[in-house]
Amino acid sequence: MIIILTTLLIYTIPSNLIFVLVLFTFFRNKSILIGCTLALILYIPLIGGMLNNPQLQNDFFRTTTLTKTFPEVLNAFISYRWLLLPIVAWGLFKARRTHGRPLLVCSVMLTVPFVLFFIQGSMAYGRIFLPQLPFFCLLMGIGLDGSLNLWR
Amino acid sequence: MTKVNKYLPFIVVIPFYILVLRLINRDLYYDEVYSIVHFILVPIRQTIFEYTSPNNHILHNALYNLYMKTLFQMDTQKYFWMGHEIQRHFTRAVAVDLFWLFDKPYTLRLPQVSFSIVTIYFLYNIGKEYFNEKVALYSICLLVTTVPFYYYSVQIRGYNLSVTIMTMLIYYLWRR
Repeated sequence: MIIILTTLLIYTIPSNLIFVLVLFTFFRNKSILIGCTLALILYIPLIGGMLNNPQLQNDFFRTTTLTKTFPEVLNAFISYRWLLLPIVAWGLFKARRTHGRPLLVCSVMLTVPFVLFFIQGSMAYGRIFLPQLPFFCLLMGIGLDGSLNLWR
Repeated sequence: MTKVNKYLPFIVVIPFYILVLRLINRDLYYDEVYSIVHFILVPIRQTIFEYTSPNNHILHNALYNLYMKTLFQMDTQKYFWMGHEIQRHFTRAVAVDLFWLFDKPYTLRLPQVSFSIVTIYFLYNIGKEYFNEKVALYSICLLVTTVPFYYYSVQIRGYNLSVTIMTMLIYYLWRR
């Protein structure tokens, strides 16, 4: 199932490869690599079109990815729920011992892809970071649970 | 589990879909129309083997191509663009098909809504299986109140499908 999902994820939008590679650093699963390989094979007929496309030209170390896109994406994910942030932060601090690894996975998945896009330098619109949304929601959910702790 | 707790996920999600109903018949915008005329209402080989612009979210457009063929029996062979020039050769019957489609945007947006349902389902199960029910509930509450998720759950682009597949991937990865 992981092979199929990895292949489909990358085959939907090529930039999803960056998220998959970051996931691979945590889940050293051969299936992810096989899925990446299958997706790259499926992209072979399209390589010519991709390389010649002016919208896909790289500008290595594109700073706007970190200075403009990253804040915009986080702002969009927060969606005016600023008052939740201190509550979530306190909950994440409390939950760091019990849920250390998931917190690390979610935090890294929310930050490292921006760094990789910055290095790679393609024109990264905010919407291509939408696959990070489940990690953001899980992180906030863990924080809220740790902080509110209503039914324990 | 009390009866209220059992139905809480549905109680959380229903207002989201009431709001989504407001968007489901919204007029198509430029990027959506571009995807439809260049990559969806074309022969399937054009969807899979041509990458004239990054608008071609290949899996998503291929699925929509098949969706239009099977559910609406739209003959995508009739819709083709001559190279990169904006020249369309279509008969009167084809023009009627296109205007019928654009007059009923919900026909195109409904699959996107189904993707968002799958995303919510898997996110809830990730929270429930690997943490607890409260985390699951908070996560889906946060998901359905996130503005980009709301807008992209009706957009005819590949971003919503990417979120769905990513959520499923996290679920199966954490299971191992």
